[in-house]
Amino acid sequence: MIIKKLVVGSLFSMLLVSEMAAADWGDVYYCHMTNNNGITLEGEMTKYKLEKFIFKLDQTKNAMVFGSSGHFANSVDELTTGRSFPIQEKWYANDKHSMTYFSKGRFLFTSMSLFDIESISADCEKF
Amino acid sequence: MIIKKLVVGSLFSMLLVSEMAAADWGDVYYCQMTNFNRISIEGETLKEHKLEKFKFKLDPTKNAMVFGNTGHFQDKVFEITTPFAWISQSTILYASSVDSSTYFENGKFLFASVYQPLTVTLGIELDVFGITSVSADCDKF
Repeated sequence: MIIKKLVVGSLFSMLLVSEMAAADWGDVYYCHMTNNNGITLEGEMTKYKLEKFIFKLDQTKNAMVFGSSGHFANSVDELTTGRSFPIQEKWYANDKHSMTYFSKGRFLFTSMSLFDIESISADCEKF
Repeated sequence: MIIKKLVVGSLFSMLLVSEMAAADWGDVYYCQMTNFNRISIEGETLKEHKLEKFKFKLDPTKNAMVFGNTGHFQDKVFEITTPFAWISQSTILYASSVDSSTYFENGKFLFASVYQPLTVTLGIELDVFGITSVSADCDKF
């Protein structure tokens, strides 16, 4: 009886953990920035306002599709093939001048322009 | 006479600017960081890092920026994504690796990465994620 309880308990715990870690297409994440700064060509750093933003993991576009407001308004960041595993809640979305990394609710983004580098980190949750 | 001086002066200035601006394969640049910032995946700004010196070469055989053997960019090779033919005509370069992006213009260097391999003792490399941003001023001698 004790063994049966232990087995059931373990299975239940595993189910809970996998439920927390798993992501799936269609999931919507609500994020708040924990860092938002820029470094210019001259080496000067500026700290910007920390915003909230949302994105959806869109299967048809194989991308992170961002909400209509804020810094990432209407951006579509395609997931990098071969390095993205939504089921493990871990993916990259890189293009020529920007890089995004997401893992288990932690979001990192950096972009390069003709004038500066922008670096953003954020914590994300799905509801 | 004044017009002649102006024309000669302008031509001389243009020559100087183009001399300063031109980059070419084989050029070696010596750089001094002006900023070196790291953010952990938890969003914490990591302690200030020492502003390092580093060097890189525009290597035609690798079509890449090839870095020297010391410091943060030790032995890194960043493939140049700017069209090949532009190199000798422009100072603007983009280079990238899987996890990083580099921009270089008129001696100004910017680097951003979302990945920070951490080499621990015994030479073992761990995958540590976070953002690294570097700016630097570079000269060729």
